[in-house]
Amino acid sequence: MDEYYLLTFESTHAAISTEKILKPAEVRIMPVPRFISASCGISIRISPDRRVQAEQIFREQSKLTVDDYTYYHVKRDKESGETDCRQIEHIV
Amino acid sequence: MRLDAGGKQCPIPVIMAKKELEAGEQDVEIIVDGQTQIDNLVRLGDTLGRPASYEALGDKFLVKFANGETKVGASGAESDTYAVFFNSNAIGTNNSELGGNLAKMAIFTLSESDKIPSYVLFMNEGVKLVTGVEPQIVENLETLIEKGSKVLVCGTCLNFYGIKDELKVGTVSNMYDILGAMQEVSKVIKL
Repeated sequence: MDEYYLLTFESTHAAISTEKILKPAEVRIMPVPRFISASCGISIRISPDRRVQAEQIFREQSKLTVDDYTYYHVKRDKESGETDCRQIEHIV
Repeated sequence: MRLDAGGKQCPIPVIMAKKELEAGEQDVEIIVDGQTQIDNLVRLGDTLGRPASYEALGDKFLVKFANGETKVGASGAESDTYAVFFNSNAIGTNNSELGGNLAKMAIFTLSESDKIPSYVLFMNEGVKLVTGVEPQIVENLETLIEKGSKVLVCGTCLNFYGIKDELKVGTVSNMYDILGAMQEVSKVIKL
């Protein structure tokens, strides 16, 4: 099972600047998965064990508002390809 | 025949050995300074069907090629194989921050793909992608190597940028192997 948290963005600039501040949490960037649509094609993947750290950095340093991004929890069965993707609450 | 390439930099030892091997010479051995040259010669031997072994010779090394028939132009292109070529550390030239992120995502996407490239090739500033500045790229290339891709990195370029010791993934390579890879596959995608 592949499990991760995912940030998608309204603008590419927001994605790039967020990736920069979240680097200490060893986040990974990836194209927005096909099962989600977002304005910008860059998404940021957060591993479950770095979620708390990533959210804390985001709270302290990000200037984005809730309209600028969407937050998801994704679980994907690697073998069947079955994906459970839920939008979760913004980081506040 | 013993060739002396002591003190000679890449790619001179490969050029010297290749010439003799392709001429069908037997008992070919060559003196070189270090591991990079040995690795290049071993790959040359594999490509030409004349596997190489090596031993220490004082403070240098002696690389010996097996006798036999040399395979010239042996590698035919299999249909549908491809290589990806990075000659810059970004996709496109206009904004390196965006371009760097695009390169990172491209390598991620390749690593997740069912149809992996036969080769991922890095030349010029492209070699900066494999020095561990971006741990994600190293991880994704390791995944590709596990799945069967070969990652070749231009040694001349690592040397030029002074980052040879920072290489984190892939094989230090040369113009012969990188162009050989391009000639072997059915298409080369430059990103």
